[in-house]
Amino acid sequence: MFLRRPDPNGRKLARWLLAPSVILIATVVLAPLLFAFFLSFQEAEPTVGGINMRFVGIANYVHHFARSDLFWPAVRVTVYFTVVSLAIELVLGIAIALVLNEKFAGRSFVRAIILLPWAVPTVVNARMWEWIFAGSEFGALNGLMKVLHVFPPTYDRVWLGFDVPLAGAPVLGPFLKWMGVTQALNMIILADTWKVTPLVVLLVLAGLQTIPDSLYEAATVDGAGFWRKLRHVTLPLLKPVLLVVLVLRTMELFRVFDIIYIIMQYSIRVLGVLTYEVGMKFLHFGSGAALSFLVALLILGLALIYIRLFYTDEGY
Amino acid sequence: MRKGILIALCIAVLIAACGLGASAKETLNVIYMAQAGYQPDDIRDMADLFEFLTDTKVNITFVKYDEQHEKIVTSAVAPVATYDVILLDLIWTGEFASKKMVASLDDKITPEMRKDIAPAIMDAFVFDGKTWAMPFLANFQLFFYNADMIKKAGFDGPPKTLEEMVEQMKAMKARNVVKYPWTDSWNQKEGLVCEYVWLTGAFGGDTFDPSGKPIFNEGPGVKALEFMVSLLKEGLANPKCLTNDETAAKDDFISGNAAFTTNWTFQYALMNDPAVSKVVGAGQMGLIPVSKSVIDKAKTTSVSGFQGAAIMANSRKKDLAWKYVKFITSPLVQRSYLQEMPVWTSVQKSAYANMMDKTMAVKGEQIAAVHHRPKVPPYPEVSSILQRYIHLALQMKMEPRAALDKAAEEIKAVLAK
Amino acid sequence: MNALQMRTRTKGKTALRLKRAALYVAVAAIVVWTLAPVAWLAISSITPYSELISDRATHWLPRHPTFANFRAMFDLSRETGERFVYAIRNSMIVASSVTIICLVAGTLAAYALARLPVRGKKTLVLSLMSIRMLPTIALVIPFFVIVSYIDYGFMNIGSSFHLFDTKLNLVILYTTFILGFVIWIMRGFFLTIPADLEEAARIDGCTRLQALRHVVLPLCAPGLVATGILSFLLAWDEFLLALIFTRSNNAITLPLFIAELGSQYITAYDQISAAGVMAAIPPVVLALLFQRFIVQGLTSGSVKG
Repeated sequence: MFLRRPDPNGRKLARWLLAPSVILIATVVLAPLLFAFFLSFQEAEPTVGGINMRFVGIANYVHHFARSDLFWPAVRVTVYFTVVSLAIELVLGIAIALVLNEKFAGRSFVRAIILLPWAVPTVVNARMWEWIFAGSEFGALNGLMKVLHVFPPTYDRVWLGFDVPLAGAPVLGPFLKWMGVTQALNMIILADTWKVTPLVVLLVLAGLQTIPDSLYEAATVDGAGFWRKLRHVTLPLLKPVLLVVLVLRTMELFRVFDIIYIIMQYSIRVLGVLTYEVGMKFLHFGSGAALSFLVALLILGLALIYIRLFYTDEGY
Repeated sequence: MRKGILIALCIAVLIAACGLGASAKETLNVIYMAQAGYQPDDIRDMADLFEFLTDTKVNITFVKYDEQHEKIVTSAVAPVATYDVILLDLIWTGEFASKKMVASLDDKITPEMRKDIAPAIMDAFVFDGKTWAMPFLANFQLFFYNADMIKKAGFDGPPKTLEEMVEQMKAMKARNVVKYPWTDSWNQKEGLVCEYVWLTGAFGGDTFDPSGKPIFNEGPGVKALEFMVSLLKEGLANPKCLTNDETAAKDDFISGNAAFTTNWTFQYALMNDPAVSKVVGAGQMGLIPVSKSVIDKAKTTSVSGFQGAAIMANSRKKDLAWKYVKFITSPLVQRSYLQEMPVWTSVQKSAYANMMDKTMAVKGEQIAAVHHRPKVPPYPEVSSILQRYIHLALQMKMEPRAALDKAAEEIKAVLAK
Repeated sequence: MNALQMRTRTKGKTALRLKRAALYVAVAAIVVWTLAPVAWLAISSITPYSELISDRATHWLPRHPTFANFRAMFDLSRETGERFVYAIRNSMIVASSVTIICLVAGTLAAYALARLPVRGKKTLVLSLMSIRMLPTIALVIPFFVIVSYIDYGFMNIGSSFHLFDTKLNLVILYTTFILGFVIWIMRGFFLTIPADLEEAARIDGCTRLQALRHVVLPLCAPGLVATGILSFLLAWDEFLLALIFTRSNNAITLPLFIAELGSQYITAYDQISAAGVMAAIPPVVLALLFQRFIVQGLTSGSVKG
């Protein structure tokens, strides 16, 4: 039908094939993005029968950058969440992948179940850990600590509390406080890491399998130990996989909302939570749109790095 | 092309699946919260009865308390209401009334009805001299204590003042009766503001003046916050309080991990339910104590969490909506669902209610002592600021007075807009 | 064999044994770390509430295990049960519709981008990639305002059609966000298939679409499986848009139901656990069954693409 008239190189066909996706994306993503940009220069509040809009110039941006006590702390706490999560995920992911790459009885079983946490829905994950972290004697983590004799039988830790870790330490303590770090935040990082690390493990594992055994044998002959092999053979060859993980995870982590909102509501204001609060709770659509736009810009910046690293033209 | 047809089909099926079919009966749309007060199943019961009596259909959407406000406001934006009847929390009275999102009920509530409802309850829904909702749920906080623990600590009854309570708690700690005698819902949510409001009342003051200006940083409010911080510093309050909402605080109490707490009326039933509670018998309910310094002026204090049924201004079925509101708030219905405090004085005082619920007298005394949260239009934002700074003080990252001063300053800026 | 040799050999053997032992300890730790949290969720789901709030150190397993929490989820005479059944139904409908639409539209677009001459192809691929990375939170506010206005328009012309609180709205939004991802992965798969195969089919008289259907797609079956499952999992998992755009049983999804279960007045951790277990079963089964494809899909899109 498309080809009633000759279409030797398929230009027309291509247009037809692309049309549904492009139209959908243009109307549902690009138009709202431009609209967000427009909204960010307005004061927009819902009233009966519509939305009141008033042009305010760059006032919304000025508010976030200079006046609000919430924006910069939100940036700092988001950066902390991203950097620390990423570091733990990478180290843990590589370590587990190295173990699973060895030969041992039941290896296929362990490899099969490793993906399980990743498949648990985010909301279920959040509520599951919230329950594990319950700060009283019925909390599972408190129970475990008592069984292992880490805690005395009468002590219960408030895992989702607001103490600053290492508050007493010089320099580091005040720094962590300034970053907005709390015990609760660290526990949420743990919960999130549990869910995401399996993905890192499987990607690294796939990368490890492409490294020929001969390289390790050669290294062994040269007398290299475990760490030297890791540094000079494994990591360099894993670099492409690790870069993918690094950039993809940075973007995912930077936009975090679900797990923090579900466990802590507005008590930990990462950028995602702050945007939701301003835009959807206080219903300041203009001010919220300005925040959304800033978040989008930051993430698109990261996306550009990713694209420069990995886009290839081989399709032409 | 076949694929194109397939997509079109999929979309068509979806639209059909979304169920746009309307029934012939007149339909009323209602939004209600899924947790506090009357439980969803009771609300459904009442609606079923109304459907039977009036041959209409009532659709009820249950949402989480925290998300109700935003859902109501966003549906008010539309030219035709998604909801005809909403549950109006007293803290939204200012906002909904000033933006005319709900219809005034002055021509519908009769003088006889007004006479039978305590002014403390009715006033919560008055703004600019008009009434915007019909009182439905008379929620307020009460004092809960563990009588066994008090006895073990060597006292014979519940404390009458906060100072006495502190003394009892110190004795409990000394005798290892309970690790943390006090628990409460002090996490960064609306519950924290509620606790702070009654505590300010316990020191003889209010958080906002009648015109809606913040006064919590002058005297009683500061004392209240200092009291909260001192409970934490002395290890009398469970450090877990900072992460507790009302439910978690209730769990601390009914699992036998606290001697004292305050909470909404709902805790009473759960505390006495052997299926969930470990303090059946020991757990008792009483009046919230106040500071020694104000005991001559007021014996007790509390905070209101009243909710009314309101009609959306953009509803096209206002008459039917009022019929429904009148029905669910009627003395007849309220007396059949005594798990919550009835709003009608005549029902509260009735022999039947007092026979069915032995605590009616205590509740009546407590409800007369409630303090309200302010009726200011941008309440969600005001409350959020207050929550944030009180919480910072409880985390000991700010001094109470400095935190409250900063909160008052930010709130004034928001109110000035 | 002299004594020295013997000693080094036993020493070597001990070292090897130690290494094996360390390996198994590590494996055991990994298994426990992976399974313990979910196991605890499963145990909690069959524990009565009063046992749940007991001292954990001495009370892990339920003394009176019960399926009451699961039964409550399907008890249609209660509000919770009714809502759960609607939520699971809505989630199924939304996630499967999104998967089907994404697979069809995404595969076609990916094929065009991998094989056919398209003007401004590079820009197109790059923008698709960026859109896939755009966070939903950045778009919810304009979405919200636009959807309100669309509904406003329909109401003004007297139609009862609306997007708010419908599955249709969720399907449109989810599809768009997942589409970029599908195109990206499928393009990666198409690029791994030698173009000669298609050329051969076309010389035999097939049109491009026939070649796609009979030659390329069968070779890409693992890719289709992987993308299909990933789309399903993404749609099943989504929370933020559901939080903003759904309210009633007509459209609420499972993540929203679980997030809202037992909030201000009942910490129903028994019910949350039961609902959580049920919500986790479909994605966990899919992920474990098709693990190989999923890893292939993710690596094809990101590494080779």
